[in-house]
Amino acid sequence: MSSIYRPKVIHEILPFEVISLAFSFIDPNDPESGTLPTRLSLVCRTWRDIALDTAHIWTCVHVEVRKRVLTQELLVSIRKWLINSRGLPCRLHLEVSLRRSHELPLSLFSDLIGPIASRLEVLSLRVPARFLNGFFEIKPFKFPLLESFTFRFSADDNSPLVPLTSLPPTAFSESTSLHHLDLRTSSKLGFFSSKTIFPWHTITHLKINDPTISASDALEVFCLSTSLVHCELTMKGWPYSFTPGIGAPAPCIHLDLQVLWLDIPRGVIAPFFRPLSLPKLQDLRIEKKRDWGFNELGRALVALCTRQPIEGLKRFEAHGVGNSGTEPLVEFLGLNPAIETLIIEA
Amino acid sequence: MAAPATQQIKIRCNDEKEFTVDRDVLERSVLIKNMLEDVTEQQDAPIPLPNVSGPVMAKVLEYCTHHRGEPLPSADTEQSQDETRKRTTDISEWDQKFITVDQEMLFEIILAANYLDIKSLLDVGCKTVANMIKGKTPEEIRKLFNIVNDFTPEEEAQIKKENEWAEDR
Repeated sequence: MSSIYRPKVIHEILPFEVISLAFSFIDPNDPESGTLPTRLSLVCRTWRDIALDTAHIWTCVHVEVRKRVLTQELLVSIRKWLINSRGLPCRLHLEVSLRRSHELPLSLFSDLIGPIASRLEVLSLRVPARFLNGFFEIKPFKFPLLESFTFRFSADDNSPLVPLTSLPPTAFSESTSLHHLDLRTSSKLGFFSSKTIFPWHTITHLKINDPTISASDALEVFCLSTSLVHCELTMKGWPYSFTPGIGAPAPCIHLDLQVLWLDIPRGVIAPFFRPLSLPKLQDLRIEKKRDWGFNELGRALVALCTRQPIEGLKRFEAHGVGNSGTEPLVEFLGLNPAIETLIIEA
Repeated sequence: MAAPATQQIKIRCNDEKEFTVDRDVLERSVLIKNMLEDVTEQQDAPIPLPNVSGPVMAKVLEYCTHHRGEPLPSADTEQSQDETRKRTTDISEWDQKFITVDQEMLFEIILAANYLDIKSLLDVGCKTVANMIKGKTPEEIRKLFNIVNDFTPEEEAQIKKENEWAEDR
């Protein structure tokens, strides 16, 4: 008589809830785990049932619609995926190129984000401008759990639209945990005149790449963001007319300023820095596309330091400084002996 | 002054193997802790543990002895941890060394931790399983755990088609 011995497999030994617990320890945000629910679902029927019952693994959606067209069918699939996350906080990263989404009604986009808006922790959109306009026009969604918001135009979208100006002022009014804000926009006509859109005081990481923002607006936002630790601002010119009533020490550790387009007349850089107080700054990077001259830069930096020395400044980079006099820069370096890394590029 | 003597408790496993263990070590198990609290008089009879074998219990006791004195998770913290989604598969160095066992023993330890209600040990076991799964294809997972693929080719194709958009990254 012969018998076939088959050892028991994991789901015949361990209770389903224990296997589900094991699944839930895998971070669904890890890029390596991006396809985790699919891979677990494909092992066998039992694992598919356990995977469908493990809400944690369905909480992260990362869609890059570059190769495929954004269709209604695709959005239905994404919605089904998110339904499996059963009300848990979730993350959505959506990248859609303009030419792949022309035919799609805006309401479908709204239908995707609307039902999960209240439990979104991370919303990252790299989409055609009309989508952002679209979903807010349909319904004024709110994002009470939002910690990170990224909005960038699709690389192929040269739309003249001004999407962020159409954000309802209440959209982020309940987003009291919003820490990361990354905007690549073309707001043109005064996005920052609607300063109440974002809860600036909660933002710790700010990145704004908007070549149409006036430097005054950019600096004002910087000053409103009193919790800022890491800041990258790309702005148009210097804030010629900025006269803020500020100067409270900012907690910023990393500051990266990029200035586009405009020539800088003599004497305007120092007033830019003078209102700032950055006692915790460790890393300062400034980039200007055209010659601004060591004298101007140096005067600005001395202005910054004489207000309150930046004792912890360890790294300083300046790009596009030109090749004029160096005395103020030498004075700046004398005021900041802690600098370990210095990069000056003409 | 001499430290107060620690109460010794006897337990008996399903293979009749008996252990005499300090009470605070055994109380890492919520199941045993509750049993001991329910008993008002000191008993000499060992506590029967019909779902755990001697060798597995020896491993469990090794874990409990190493972690004795550490705060036990309260019901509140357990619930709040369950609600937070940010879990990791990080395991401390000692726990990692402890749990480096063959698959059969790993599953036995997990089962024992589940039965004895030792949350931290259950987590270590489940994180180890999670680490074994991470980054593997369905076929590799099947091979690792001797699982038979019981999908029809059509069913498998359907699942792949439904979620193929998630592969675009």
